[in-house]
Amino acid sequence: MDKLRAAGDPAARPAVLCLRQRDEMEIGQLLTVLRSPIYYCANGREAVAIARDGALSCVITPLRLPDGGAAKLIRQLQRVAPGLAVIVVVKSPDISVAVEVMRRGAYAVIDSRTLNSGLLHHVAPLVLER
Amino acid sequence: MKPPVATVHIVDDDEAVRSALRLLIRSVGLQAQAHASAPEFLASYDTRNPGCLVLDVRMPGMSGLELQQELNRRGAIIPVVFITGHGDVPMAVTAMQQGAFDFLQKPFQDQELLEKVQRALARDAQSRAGMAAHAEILARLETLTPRETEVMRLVTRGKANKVIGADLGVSQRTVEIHRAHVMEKMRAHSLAELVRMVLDAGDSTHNS
Repeated sequence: MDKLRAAGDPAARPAVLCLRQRDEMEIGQLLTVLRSPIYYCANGREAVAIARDGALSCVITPLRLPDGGAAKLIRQLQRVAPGLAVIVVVKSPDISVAVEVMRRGAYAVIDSRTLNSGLLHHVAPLVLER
Repeated sequence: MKPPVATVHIVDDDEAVRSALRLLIRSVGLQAQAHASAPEFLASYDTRNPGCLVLDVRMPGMSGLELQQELNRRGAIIPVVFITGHGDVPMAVTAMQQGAFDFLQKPFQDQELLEKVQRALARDAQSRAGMAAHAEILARLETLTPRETEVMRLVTRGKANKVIGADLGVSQRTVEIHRAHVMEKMRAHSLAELVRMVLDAGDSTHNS
């Protein structure tokens, strides 16, 4: 398991859990600005273990994971942390993919081409409301 | 009185699209009604009638997403299938977050839309059946006297007649009579069924 690392002020807000992905640097930068701690993990299994143990404001995941897809992760997270918001970052602007992921219980889907505006729109309110 | 037939409402500002969709939906024996704008639909729509809505996202004046918000505000449960020729991921996400049943990008196959419409109608029927059952349970609860309601609460919390009698200061026999009345009025055939009804009725039984 990757060593967890947190940025920002841990006392300030519940952490955001980010699964390893191409855009993680941009995600980390924004969350630092929002003063939200961020944990990183490598796969769905680790994400479920972290979600089970701690209060998170949301989970940000790519569509594809080494041990399954985002839909499987959402299902597993709903079991251990019901109501936890899962935001899925997709590389393809395919609407049918976004709709299917939303149907499976994602809180939001962000197109990686408009990552920053998507994060501000969907993730910032979740982080700031706590 | 015959129950109203489920109607597929089409809201699109493009006359050609409206006509084509109406024809397509009628071709499989479904009732279809076309509307040129969101306000036109709202003026004629009765939330009590079953059906679903095939809704264009982009329209002059009130957009499809705004119409969806208005329907949510009115407490309408009609499933909405969005169609758009200029959609993007944020638009689809907003629609789904607002409770859209589905979101379809033009051009689409006729069969694809028909399948989504059929599923939306099935969802609507299921929701309405659930709401009708819920309303029926609430109506039965209304027929209980205050004492019967009290007994029902204690019974469904697993208390024995003897304990309930002691709690309420009445005899065990009196509790048995109240209990029988509760079962009869609620048309419950078992304690498990009564518990399910109370759970379905939710806060209205426990907070009243």
